[in-house]
Amino acid sequence: MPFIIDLPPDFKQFETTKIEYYYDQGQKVVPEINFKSAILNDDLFKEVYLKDKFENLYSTWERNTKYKSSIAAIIEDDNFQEIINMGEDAIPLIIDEIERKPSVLVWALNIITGKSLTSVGRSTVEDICKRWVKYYRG
Amino acid sequence: MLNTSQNRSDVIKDFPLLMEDSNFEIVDSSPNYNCIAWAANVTDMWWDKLPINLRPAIRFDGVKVDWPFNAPDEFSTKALLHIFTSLKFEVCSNGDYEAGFKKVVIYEKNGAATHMARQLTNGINKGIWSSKLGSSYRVLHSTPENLISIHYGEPKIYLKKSMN
Repeated sequence: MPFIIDLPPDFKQFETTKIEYYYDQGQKVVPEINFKSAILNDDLFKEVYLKDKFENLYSTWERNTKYKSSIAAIIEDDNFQEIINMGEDAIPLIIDEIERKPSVLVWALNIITGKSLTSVGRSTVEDICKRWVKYYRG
Repeated sequence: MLNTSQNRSDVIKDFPLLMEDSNFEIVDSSPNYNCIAWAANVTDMWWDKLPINLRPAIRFDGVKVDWPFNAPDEFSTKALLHIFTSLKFEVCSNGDYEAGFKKVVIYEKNGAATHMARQLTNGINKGIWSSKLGSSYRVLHSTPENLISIHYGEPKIYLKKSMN
C-alpha cells in the first residue's frame, strides 16, 4: 500500500476584485453587477489594434521605400504587402493617411479593391488621392 | 513650408553629406514623378521599367508610367544609358558645369543603378544639382557627391547634352 507523504502543490490563480459599495439610508449596499458590461468591447479592440498595426507597417514601408524610384521595389516591400493583406480593414486607415498626406500609398487601394478611379483625363497621384477620399467619404 | 529644419534634418539623416552643403534645399514634395523622369525634366509621370507591349501604361491610379525609346525592360544602367542617349545625351567625364550643356548623372550601388540627378542650367541655381528622391522630396545639392549614401551608392556615369 503506497504511503503518500505529500501532495503536489496546488496551483491557484488569484484574481483581485474591487467591490464598490454605495450607501442607501445608512446601509452599505453592494450593487448588482452586470457582467456583460465587463466584457471588452471587441470593436474598440479591433479598431485600436488595426490602427496600431497599420501605423507601424506604414511608417516602416515609408522609411524603406521613400527614396526608391522603382515601383516594383515600392509595392513589393513586405510592409506594403502586409497592408494589402489587411484587406478591407485597411481601407479607412489608408483613406485617412492619403487625406493627411497624398502619396503612392493610394496604389494599395487599387490592389485591395480591384478598382481604379482614373478617368479618361490624366490625373496625378495628388489628384487621385483627393478623388479616393471624396469617393470613400461620399 | 517644405524647407523646414525638421524636414532638412530627416533628409540629412539619410544623406549626411548634405549637412555641410550650403546649397541644400528642399524644393518640392510631389509624389507625381520620380528621379528618372526628373532627370529628363518630366514632372507628371514616373519613368520606370515596363514591358514594351504595355508602354506607356496606367497600372495604378494617378501615375502614368513610361520607359521610353524601347529601352530594355530593366531598371539598369544599360537601360538608363539607352534612354538618355536617345535624348541626345552623351557620356562625359565629370559633373563640372560647362556653359551650353545640360548634364545628368547615374548613381550605382553595388553595380546596380539606383538614382539619377541633373544639373540646373539657368537662374541663380546654375551649375548646382537637383534630385528627386524617389516618391519623396526634390532637393538641390551642390555636387552629385553630396548624395553619396547607403541608399544611392555613388555617382558613376555622367552624361551631357548640348543646349544649342
